[in-house]
Amino acid sequence: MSDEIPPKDPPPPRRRRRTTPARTKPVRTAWSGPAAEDAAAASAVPPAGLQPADPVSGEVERLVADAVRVGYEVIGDNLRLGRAAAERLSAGTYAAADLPKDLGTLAKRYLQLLRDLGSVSFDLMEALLHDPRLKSALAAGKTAEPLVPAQGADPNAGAGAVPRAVPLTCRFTGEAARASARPCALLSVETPAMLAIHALVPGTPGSPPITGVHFTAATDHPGVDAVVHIPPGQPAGLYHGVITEAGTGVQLAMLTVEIAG
Amino acid sequence: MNIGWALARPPPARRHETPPLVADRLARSAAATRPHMAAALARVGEAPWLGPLVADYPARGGKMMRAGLFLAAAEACGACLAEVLPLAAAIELLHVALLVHDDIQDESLERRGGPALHRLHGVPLALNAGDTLLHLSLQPLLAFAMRLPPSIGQRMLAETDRMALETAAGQATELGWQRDGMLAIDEAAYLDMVLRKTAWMSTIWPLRLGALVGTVPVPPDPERLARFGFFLGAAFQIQDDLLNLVADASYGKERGGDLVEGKRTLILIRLRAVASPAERRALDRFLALPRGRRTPAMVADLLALIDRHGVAGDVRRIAEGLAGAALHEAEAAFGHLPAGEPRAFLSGLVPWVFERT
Repeated sequence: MSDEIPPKDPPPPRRRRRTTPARTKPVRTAWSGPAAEDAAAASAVPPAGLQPADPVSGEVERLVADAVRVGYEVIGDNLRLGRAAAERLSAGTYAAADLPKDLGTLAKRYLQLLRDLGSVSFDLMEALLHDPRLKSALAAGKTAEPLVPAQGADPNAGAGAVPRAVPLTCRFTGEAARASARPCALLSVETPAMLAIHALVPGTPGSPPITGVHFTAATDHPGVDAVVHIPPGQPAGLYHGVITEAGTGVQLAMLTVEIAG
Repeated sequence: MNIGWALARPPPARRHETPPLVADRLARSAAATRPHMAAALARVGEAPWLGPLVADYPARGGKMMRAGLFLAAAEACGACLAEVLPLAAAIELLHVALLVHDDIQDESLERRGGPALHRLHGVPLALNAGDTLLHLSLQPLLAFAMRLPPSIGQRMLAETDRMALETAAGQATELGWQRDGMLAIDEAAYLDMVLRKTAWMSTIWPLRLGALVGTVPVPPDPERLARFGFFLGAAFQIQDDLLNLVADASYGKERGGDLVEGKRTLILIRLRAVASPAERRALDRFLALPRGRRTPAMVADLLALIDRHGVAGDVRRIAEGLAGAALHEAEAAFGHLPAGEPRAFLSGLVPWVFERT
């Protein structure tokens, strides 16, 4: 036995420690929401597009999750009410043959609702109700006639299908050399109609509208001429205006004019 | 007082900012809708004491988010944009009509960077202009509904009927809270009010109309659209309430106007929850005052209190949580449709809500 003090055991390797995580419980926030109502508390990963502004405290985390949960409850209750109302509406009395009549009833109901929302401009209501198409649609048992051809339909198809298109030609006065028009055609109306256009408004705000527009019957070709006066210094750009049937406001065409720089 | 800084500072790193296409598409949607609005407004012409009034708010600009939302939903569902533009104009005209009425009801001072219409022309004429705008929004809506197959036209009017009733109920709730001095309002009641007052008109209705005019064989589920619209609308409204605290010229309304009006926003609801008993009593005394007796000094104190308790940050995080749910619901509603700009725009509107000024 040696008198020597036995050497100490070599010191154990330094214990590796993980850094203490900032969080002390699973992070559950409202950011990921995988499935409807229980989306409020799912995972820590926000969906593409958004991420919380700062690390959130537990209190705020709970606040956010609660708000999303309550949000789902609120919209869920509202939708349930809507479903119940729809079921009541559809119970029994709805038949395909009644649909045009129901359409009129709904239109009248909406008009009444708007009337109740404030004092009424009766003359405007009158003008609206004198729209021949609206009148025909509101009449029981009738179906409204289409105002514009369906996509892909022949605009010159036979009578009774869709309205025929009327050629519209644009002529310019003033700084006419700078102006050009995109081709367009007017939807024809059943009865002689006055055409109206308020103004050609700029595609981007800031430029003054072009207000000098009037219509004449074309003399040397079929259709209608739109005469557009381009004022001096009119800024370059695209200008659009909707041509309507005066009185009813039914929209017949979109006139687009381009002013070169 | 640094609440302005706290809200206005750039947000920390985000995984995705608003895609550039959102602002671009919003501008294009607005430019395409504007002529149809002008055509509808032209029906009134230059009628004295009416024509210039109905044209006033539309001429002041506006981002036309509602029209953009409708057009994107319609295009995502296969509609031809040129054909549905009159409906986009109807949506915006109805929105403008409600702005005129809101400003009267709230006694607002400013709108879109100028004096509110009733301050320029008096309440009777402004009210009449608002009514007229309501009627002007009808014509394109009805004309469109009439040329759709009856079953679709009937649904379009039913959607509009529902929206109008929900909006009126939500507005009544908010005004009733103020008139009757209601204080014990919780988050659920607030969100229900926002759903009705804001979301049905601003987001749910445009989305559902857009889906109705589409041609895809399997359109988005209307209830999914309502959920997306609700969460988007709620985030939008809460952000609007926050912007009101730090309003600058680009916001277009007076700074702190909601506090002066005593609006029961989520900010005030949260403040009541975290305030000390003494602070809560002071807040309740402020809300019990008639509007004319709420002074700028009181509003400044209230802003300082909101700042001291970090309420704006909490509320902002709640709005972001609701926005997360909106993104989830957008994907659930439109995920089965082909990817493209309309869908990217609809999702991109969610972060845009927080970046608008």
